[in-house]
Amino acid sequence: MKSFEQGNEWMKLWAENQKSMFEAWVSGKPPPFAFRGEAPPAGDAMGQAAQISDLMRQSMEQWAEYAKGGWTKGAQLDPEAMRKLFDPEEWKRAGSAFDLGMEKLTEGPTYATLWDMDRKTLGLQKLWVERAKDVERYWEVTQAAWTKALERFMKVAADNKGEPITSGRQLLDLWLATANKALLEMHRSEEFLEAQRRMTRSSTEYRLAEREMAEAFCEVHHIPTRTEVDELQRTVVELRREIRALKSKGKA
Amino acid sequence: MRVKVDPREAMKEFTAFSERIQRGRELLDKTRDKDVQIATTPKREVFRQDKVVLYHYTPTAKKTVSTPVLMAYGLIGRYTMADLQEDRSLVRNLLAQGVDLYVVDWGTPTRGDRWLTLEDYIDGYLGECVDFIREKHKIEAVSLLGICEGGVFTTCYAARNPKKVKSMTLTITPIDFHAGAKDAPLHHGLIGLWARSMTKPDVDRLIEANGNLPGELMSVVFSMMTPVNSLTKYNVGLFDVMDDEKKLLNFLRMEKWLADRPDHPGEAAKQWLKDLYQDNLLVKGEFKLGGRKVDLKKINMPVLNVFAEEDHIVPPKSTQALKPLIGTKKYTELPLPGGHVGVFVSGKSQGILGKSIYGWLKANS
Repeated sequence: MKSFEQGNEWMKLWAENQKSMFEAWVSGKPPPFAFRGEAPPAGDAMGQAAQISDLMRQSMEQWAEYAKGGWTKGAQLDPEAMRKLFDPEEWKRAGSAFDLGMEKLTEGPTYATLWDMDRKTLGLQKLWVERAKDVERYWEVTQAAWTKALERFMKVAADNKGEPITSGRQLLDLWLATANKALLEMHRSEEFLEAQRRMTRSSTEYRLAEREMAEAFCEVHHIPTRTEVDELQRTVVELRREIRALKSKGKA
Repeated sequence: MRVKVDPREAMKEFTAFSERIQRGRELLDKTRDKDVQIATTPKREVFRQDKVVLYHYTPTAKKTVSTPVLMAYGLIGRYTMADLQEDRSLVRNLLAQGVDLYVVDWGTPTRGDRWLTLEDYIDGYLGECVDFIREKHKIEAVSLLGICEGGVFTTCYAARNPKKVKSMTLTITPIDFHAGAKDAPLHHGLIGLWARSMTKPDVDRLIEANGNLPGELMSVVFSMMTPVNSLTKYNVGLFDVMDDEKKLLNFLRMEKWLADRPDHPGEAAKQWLKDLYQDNLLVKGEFKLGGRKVDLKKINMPVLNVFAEEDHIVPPKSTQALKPLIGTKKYTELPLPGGHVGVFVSGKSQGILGKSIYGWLKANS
């Protein structure tokens, strides 16, 4: 058997077993713990490695196909199955609905998150683009105010009305006062407030998505996440609050 | 054409400017960090809980006001503004006249403090400080002096604990968060406009993303009220004062204070922005702390309300709204010239502020 064919055999066997496990998972049947079919003979590992990326791609495609059907069937969980899932009596029995339920809970999400990082990265990129657009829009609005200020300044400086400007400082002060007024008008405008709101919102969403990515990395590498630390700190604050309340009760 | 600059005059002006820059550079060269220290009035720590520290200022004169005064600044900015420099210090002014003065320092909140609420600060930390002073002096009640957001803290505390408050002085304190918006000058009320331009979920997400309300963000919002001044303070404002040592040091001290803007704890910031700036619940009698409404009618002690006539952050109408809402007839208003911070640091109002507060405390404590 050529190494390529050997690899294909392994792939088929693996895919077949995964498929049957998945089918069992969505239909609530006991999981097929034993291999189906016979394992192909061992061959040249180096040769197999040469084809591994192609085989993996094929496997991913097959999994994607199974998933489409699987989620549809998975939605058919009946109330009885749900009851069993949370019934402590059921938990005692090996191979029971509880085990199946556990499998659904443990394998399901793992399967569903196969391309989770890719989706997250894509989402982050989209948010980055949104943020960049909103920042650009914000600067457009701000720039328009500066342009307006310059127009006004040129008009006032060219006008013969008013006190003559006889020093550089007077000219500078006129420019600063004109610019200040134009900027303040802009800061109060609905256009600016909308641009600012959008920029704040998209920056915030980007930051949160960035955190989600960082937390995924942390989870894989056994590092506490921001969310976990936040939860911990919340507990500490609540405990301190309780201590304070108890102390003041004691005093009273 | 209004511009009629004589080239020879322009040259003279440029020469004078260059000379000033040269003198200024020499001054800046010899200025060291120790020359621009702020909040230097001696004080000692007397109580601490978490990051909050209660300080007692060392008396500099014989006590003339019987009830000790507890000063509370807000969480936006720091209390050091009341003691910016020796000759412009409300703290030193009050001490010199015999006031026994304490100040609460909220510390520098970090992400770990994001869950602290206004209840924690008002009922918790402020309450603990009040109780400490009451126990130490064996008295029933203390006098409160609230500044800006700290004024809202003392107002809420006084409404919830009237028996523990002998008198209350408020300075530049917002009460009606929507007042003063109509027909106001362009630079007035921009914080309210900014806060109300966000939806409630926007505020929640902002805090979720940052943990706290970042001090830098608040600095940007403040800068929007005086946009050109903020943009030109180092290339126009600084040049204007850099050849005058006293003015230069004043400038640098103010910069030091401005740069020290801590983050506002997240949950408390949500309440501040949503309940107060957006929904204006305090004046509606619907503002709740720990599930209980803050009833301003319960404020039955004498109240002195000091505000700045040119305040662009807390418009006078916002703070004057307190009068009909409280349950005491002993209400006094003191309008002072200047802006929000100017009341505390300008030479013009500084003398009036300290003397007026002292006179009122002496009569009402």
